[in-house]
Amino acid sequence: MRLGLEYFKIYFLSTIRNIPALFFTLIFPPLMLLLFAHQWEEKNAFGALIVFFNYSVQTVALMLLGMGVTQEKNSEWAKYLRSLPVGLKPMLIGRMLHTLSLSFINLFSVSLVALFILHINVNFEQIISFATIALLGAIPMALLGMAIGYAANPESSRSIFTLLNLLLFFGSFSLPATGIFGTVRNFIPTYQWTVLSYSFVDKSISILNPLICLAAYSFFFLFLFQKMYRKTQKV
Amino acid sequence: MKQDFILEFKNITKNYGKINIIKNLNLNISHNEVIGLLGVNGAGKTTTIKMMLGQEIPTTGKIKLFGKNPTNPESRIHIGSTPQNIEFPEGLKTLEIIQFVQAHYPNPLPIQEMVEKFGLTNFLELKASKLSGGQKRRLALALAFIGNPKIVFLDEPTTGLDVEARKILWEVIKDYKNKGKTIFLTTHYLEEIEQIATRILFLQKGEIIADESVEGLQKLANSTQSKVSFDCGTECSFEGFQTIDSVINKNRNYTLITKNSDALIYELVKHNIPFSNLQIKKENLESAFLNLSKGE
Ligand SMILES: Nc1ncnc2c1ncn2[C@@H]1O[C@H](COP(=O)(O)OP(=O)(O)OP(=O)(O)O)[C@@H](O)[C@H]1O
Ligand SMILES: [Mg+2]
Repeated sequence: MRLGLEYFKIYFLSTIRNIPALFFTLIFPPLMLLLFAHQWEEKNAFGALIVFFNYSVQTVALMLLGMGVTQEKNSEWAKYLRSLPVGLKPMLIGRMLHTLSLSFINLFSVSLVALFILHINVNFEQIISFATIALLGAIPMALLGMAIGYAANPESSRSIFTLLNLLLFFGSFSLPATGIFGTVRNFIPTYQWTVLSYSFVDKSISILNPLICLAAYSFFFLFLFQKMYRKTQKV
Repeated sequence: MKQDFILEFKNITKNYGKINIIKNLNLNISHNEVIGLLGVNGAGKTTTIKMMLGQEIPTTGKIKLFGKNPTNPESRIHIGSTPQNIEFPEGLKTLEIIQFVQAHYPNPLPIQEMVEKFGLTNFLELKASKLSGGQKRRLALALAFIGNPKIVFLDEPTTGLDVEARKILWEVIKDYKNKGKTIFLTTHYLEEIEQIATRILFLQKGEIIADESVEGLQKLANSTQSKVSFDCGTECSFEGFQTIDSVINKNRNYTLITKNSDALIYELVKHNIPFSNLQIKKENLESAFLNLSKGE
């Protein structure tokens, strides 16, 4: 665990000292909220807030963490780290904490936009609840980001992650409830994530299904990540 | 009881794709050795070290590092290494990197000690990625020793080091050996390791063609020869000399190759050769190496 914190420290420091990367990741979600919020005006401000909360976490996990993994996995430094007496766990903990901390900053800025610019009518308790669920979702999303990060090659990773980020974003709220899409959406992790957050507003929604789904995805992505990580070692 | 080796290579081969890089390598490394691995560019030195560290997996054969597979992190608790090339991540300061690497080891050396030894004091607050090439190498060396490992692997450690830093490195290696530890290093600068190496390995075309002490190697390379050179005011003739193998004459600067320099000097004096600026050069490892490589 102590070593996990050390990993977190170096990931965090090298991110916050990389101003351009930080700027784009952290500015994007609040900006999106600002631009799209009028779509939901009067109708479903809660929904918008939830979607963008989750989206901001998802962006950190995919664009910052996942793409970061792809870019550095073949570096001399990453190879050097593999000669140190350390297994996967501290690195995993470090990356997880890294994702959580940046997501937290992101949620903070989205909240500020929601409260003080858009004047969305939410109370403090709701914000805390949404933020908690959003951060919880960082677990499967970070694992997904890392699994793809280790699988993708540096040339294609930007397009892969951008596409995935968009698909998961729209998949989280825009699929119709009926027909084939109504079935498909149940298998989309970000949709279940939105449902979980929404259960705070609509108490009739059961949290069991989304929880099971997200947990299952977490294990699956963890498995995938381990596989991909090991594969990069074998030539 | 079986001697406990730090590292064992059993019938190791390594291919990259279809190309065979290492052929049937067998090797044991014990405590308290300084081993120099020599070989021309592309001989497979770095590949060998990478397999020792678990960064590359052999195509066939078995490697044991402290009795375990090197890909198992536990096997690497007592090792340190400096890779041939290293780049540090953007944004991290020298001190932060040292602290980070040190945190991986159960009984590390004090940071201060390593920082002073490798002359890093003035760079601690600088970004490691912005250091000069030689400064980066020094940092990488400090990282190899910081964990107080039982064996240190150094892949061409002197590349890019200035004279001062080289001297320091050889001192550190000597001290380290005196503590009973093992150093495994590769280099192209043969002269510098003949002073400290207890064992020399020659790697050629993926095979170890010699595994010897420095003296053993010189014998092996038929290298009891010395070069005796001097200036001579007049043309000299060496007729009747018993001890000369060959003569090179460059503008009355003579170089004589001999197997017995003492006897040759005696003969020079006996024949009243008017020599000046006499120099005697024992065959060094470098020429031994060349002889050996030529002999295939
Ligand atoms: N990842 C790789 N993929 C394919 N071939 C490789 C790879 N790494 C090394 N090789 C090949 O293996 C051979 C040995 O390389 P290696 O780096 O071990 O040589 P070396 O003895 O360390 O040389 P140098 O003195 O230049 O450092 C070379 O022919 C090289 O092209
Ligand atoms: Mg090399």
